[in-house]
Amino acid sequence: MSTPRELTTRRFAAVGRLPFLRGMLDQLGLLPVLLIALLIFFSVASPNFFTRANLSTILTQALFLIIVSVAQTLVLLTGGFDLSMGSSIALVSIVVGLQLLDHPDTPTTGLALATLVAIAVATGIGALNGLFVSLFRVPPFIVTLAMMTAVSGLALHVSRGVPIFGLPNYFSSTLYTGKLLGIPVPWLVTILVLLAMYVVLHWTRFGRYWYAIGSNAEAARLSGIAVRFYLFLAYTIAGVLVGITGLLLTARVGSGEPTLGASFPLESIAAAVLGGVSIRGGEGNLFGAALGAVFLVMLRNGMDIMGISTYTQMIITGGLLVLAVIIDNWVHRER
Amino acid sequence: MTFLLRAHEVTKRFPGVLALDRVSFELRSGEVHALVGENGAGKSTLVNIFAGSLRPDGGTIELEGRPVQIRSPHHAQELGIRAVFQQLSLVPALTVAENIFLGRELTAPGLLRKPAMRARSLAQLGIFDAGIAPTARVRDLTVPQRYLVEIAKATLERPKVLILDEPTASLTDRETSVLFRLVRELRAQGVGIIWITHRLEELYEIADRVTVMRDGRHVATLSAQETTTDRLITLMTGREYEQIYPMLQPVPPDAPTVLEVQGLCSVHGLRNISLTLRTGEILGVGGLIGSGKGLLGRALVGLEPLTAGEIRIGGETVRADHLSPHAMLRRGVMYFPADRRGEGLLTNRSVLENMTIAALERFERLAGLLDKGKERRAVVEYIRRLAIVPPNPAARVRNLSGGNQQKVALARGLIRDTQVFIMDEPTQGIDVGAKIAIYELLHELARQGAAVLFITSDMLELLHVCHRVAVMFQGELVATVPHEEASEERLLQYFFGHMREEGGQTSVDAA
Repeated sequence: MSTPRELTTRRFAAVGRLPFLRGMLDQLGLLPVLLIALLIFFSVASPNFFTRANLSTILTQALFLIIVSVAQTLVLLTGGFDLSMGSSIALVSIVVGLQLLDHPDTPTTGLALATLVAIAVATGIGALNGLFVSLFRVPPFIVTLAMMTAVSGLALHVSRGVPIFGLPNYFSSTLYTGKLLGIPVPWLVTILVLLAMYVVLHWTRFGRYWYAIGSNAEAARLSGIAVRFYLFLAYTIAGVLVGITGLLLTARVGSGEPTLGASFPLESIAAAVLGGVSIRGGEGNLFGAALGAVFLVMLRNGMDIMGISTYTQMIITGGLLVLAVIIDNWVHRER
Repeated sequence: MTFLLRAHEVTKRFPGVLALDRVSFELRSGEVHALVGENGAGKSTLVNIFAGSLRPDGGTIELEGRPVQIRSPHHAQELGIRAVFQQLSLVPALTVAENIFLGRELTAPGLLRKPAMRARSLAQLGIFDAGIAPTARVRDLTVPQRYLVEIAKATLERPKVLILDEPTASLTDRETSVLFRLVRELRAQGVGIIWITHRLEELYEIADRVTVMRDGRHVATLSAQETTTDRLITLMTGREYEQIYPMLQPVPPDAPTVLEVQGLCSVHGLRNISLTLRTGEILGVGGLIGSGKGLLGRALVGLEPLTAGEIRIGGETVRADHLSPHAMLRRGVMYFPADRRGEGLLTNRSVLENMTIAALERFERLAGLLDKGKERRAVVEYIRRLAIVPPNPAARVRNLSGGNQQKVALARGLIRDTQVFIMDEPTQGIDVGAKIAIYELLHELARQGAAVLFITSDMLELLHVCHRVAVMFQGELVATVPHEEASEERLLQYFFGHMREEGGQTSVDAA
């Protein structure tokens, strides 16, 4: 067997220059550049934007979207997506609210039970999505759209359409304003989620298999991967993350809200795709998605400060999603 | 003299590749001009330029003595240049007549003249005598029938130039002879025909002249009558015959049987297939398109629903309901599909991920974390051993050439310690250098005790790379011929069902 020819070795060695910049552009696309441009634009446009308080607000608001975008990324990597994440958060909020009303004076039990039901409900919904997608081969669009409608109906039915007020004080003071090791709890949870999912995606076979399935499901099957099982798992684990978000978001608003998180499905897809996750699967990573989430929240915040109406903002966000998909098509087209 | 179609010093560059290097080519009217060469020699690029799908970077094209710039496929058609590629341009949901007239429908002020179009389609198809109804939907036709419809579409208005890209690849014997008849008729009418083919034997029957291309260059243009297969192969590959195919080492007589198949029948047409494969053996599987040779490979790993039969690996029966790629991998059997990009590779992932995807458990440490250093070292080692270019574990597989992609796919089997390699058309679409590398690798694997089921459409591979050749015909395994007894004539007899082997005896089929 011949050895690699020296000529070609030399040619490809040249590619190693500027590895950091190349790697970042390949992994995250143009997003960091856009983010900085946006930062400069709003800073110039309004003196109230580039302040310590406002930047901290942006990041705190972004945490929830970051976790959902990471969940969405898991599913997107396998070549699917999940539209039911928003109504799943709403149902979690209602169930958590009802649970907490039963435990007004016992913080430990109350928090433990709230966490448990939050994760159980959202994981169950995720698992159901996964089951329909993997076992019955229903397209993810149909499955999760139907699930979105059904779960939303369930949340409204259980709550009779009204928010659940009067949650015990310990709930928000622990899970929203509380600190652990000097770090606010929502921050801590987000960091842990990012770390854990990074390890799963890049240091275990689970992540490899998800990428493989999204890249070419048939090739994955021929490589001996239990494709259906791992598909199921992706939706289920995404459900766990959605449950965590539902819990934290309920603590933030301080009541059980039957319409909480309605904008999350679309925003999380937009964030992930802006961050370089391919809508066709098998490409992208969670830090890109997280950065995409920060970008969207910063955009919203900046537009708020500039006095742009919510309706206009909706138009811009929608347009941005289409633009992100067009860019995705352009970047990932087969040559 | 003026030529019908002439390319003068045409150059075409793709990123990183010089696809055509000052290629000149001349087509006379009323001739069948064959274009041969290895994959990647530039044949497709050249005819794509004629057909308007690609624009040359340099050189000139003349049609009937006048320089032309062929701007688009549509423009080429207006100029009278029609091409029939392997990728058919038919719409499956429409009828045969609708397809033939697609884009040039006959109308009476605004309305379609359906009966007229059906009548003309019928007349056009009548030449083929293939029983294709103008009202049939294309999706209900067989592959050869579709091909004939495509040709009917291309020749509806007599073109000046007709380009046929491997026209016989998907045709059976009978349809091939029908096509030959049609082509001779068109030639007599003064049509110039460019005939791309890999089947050198058909040149003597149909072609007037042959142009050989290699590595994007024009090598030679010869009279078809005055050339030989050996000479063409030498011109195409730049090597003598013997340099291409490595010496075949005999299988040790005491080598144990590793794969045994008995009475295999499948839903889609495999009939009562029995075969054995010993360690160290390369068993070629040949046959025409539609003979079921591809199905056999799929059936062995559970991709094809079985109705009967037994598969034993190392003497142990694999239960039919347990048959899956996963179960066979666990028993050391890996299947390599013919459609590498569609089914075999994770094209948008890296070389590293592609190589180790079937063997990740080998690189796991405690708590299921991957030992990426060990993984990378293994991948670098196989990149070196297989001489994969670029030698970069992070390169995306879709940016590799066909040959290197095939090597990456093979490495996936090597990293797992595979015992049985089931390879469907492993050398399809790769250049001769990569082919030689793959032959050598297969031989080395065999010497080390692996077994290879080598499914191929390439006659020369069957003759020169395999210890035994099994021939499929209409879903049955009709003969198994040892290397020493295999000849082109004999294999072709089995291919076309003229002869079959019964209990070790060869008999001539009454039909």
